[in-house]
Amino acid sequence: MNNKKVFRWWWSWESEKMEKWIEAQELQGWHLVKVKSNLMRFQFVKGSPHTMRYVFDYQHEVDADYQQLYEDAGWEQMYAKNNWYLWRTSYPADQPEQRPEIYYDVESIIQRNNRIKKTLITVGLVLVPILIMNMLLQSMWQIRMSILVVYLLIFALFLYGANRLQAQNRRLQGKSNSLNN
Amino acid sequence: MNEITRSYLPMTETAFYILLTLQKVHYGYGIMQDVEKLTDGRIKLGAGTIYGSLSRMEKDQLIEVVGEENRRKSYTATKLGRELLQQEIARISELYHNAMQMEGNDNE
Repeated sequence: MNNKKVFRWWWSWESEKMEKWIEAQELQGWHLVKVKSNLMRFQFVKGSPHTMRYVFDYQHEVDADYQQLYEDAGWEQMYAKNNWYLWRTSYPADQPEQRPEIYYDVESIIQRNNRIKKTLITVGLVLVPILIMNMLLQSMWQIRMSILVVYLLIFALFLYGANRLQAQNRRLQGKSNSLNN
Repeated sequence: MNEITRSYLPMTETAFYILLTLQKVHYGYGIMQDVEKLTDGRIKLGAGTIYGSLSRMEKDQLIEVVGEENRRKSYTATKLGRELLQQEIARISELYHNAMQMEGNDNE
């Protein structure tokens, strides 16, 4: 078997975990060739092991300068859709401390997390009118209640995600404060 | 000086070095290379950091786009950006002189 397709479900607040997963695939010789289905379907080809850095980025709106700047800095774009970007670059296997980053500073990571958080909350709120519409269209109270429960579960999940990102921001902020003071 | 520009002071090292290198015209990757060279590799600015900082500083009118070639925008500091940089340099000089003076007293 020299190629495989893997489906991995993940949440927008778990991008670091996914980066490590793809990097581990590369170390085992599974070279990523294609990403599809909203960054959930990954196609790999078997070859020699690579020390690659994979990084997800989330941007609200970018201009042509964005892609050019990343490419100038040595990154290759693997995916760009719905505000999500996947970039990769190789680095020397014997220098793990040289693992490249797109954000070396705490402030930029916090801002990226805030962008993801904003989207989670916005989408959660946009669902409210849809929820009300659906509830009004249903005459049976059992169905109305089920719709409400499903919505509340989705909203709770989004809040949980926003909370996780906030917790990471606080950790980062604490780290940067102790470095500066 | 308004709320936004005041929020830049004291400056992060990222903002400081971006403004410092943008005394001349530069594009994003040029800034990354210059800063790494100037600080002997101590400060590495990631592509994402540079992109975000340049966008924000342009919006806050500390820098401006002066050209665009092959999808690469080149920037330079505005009058406001230069003023802020001067204020920051004055603050750092004060730190430096006070540090030197106190060090001197200790050695006497």
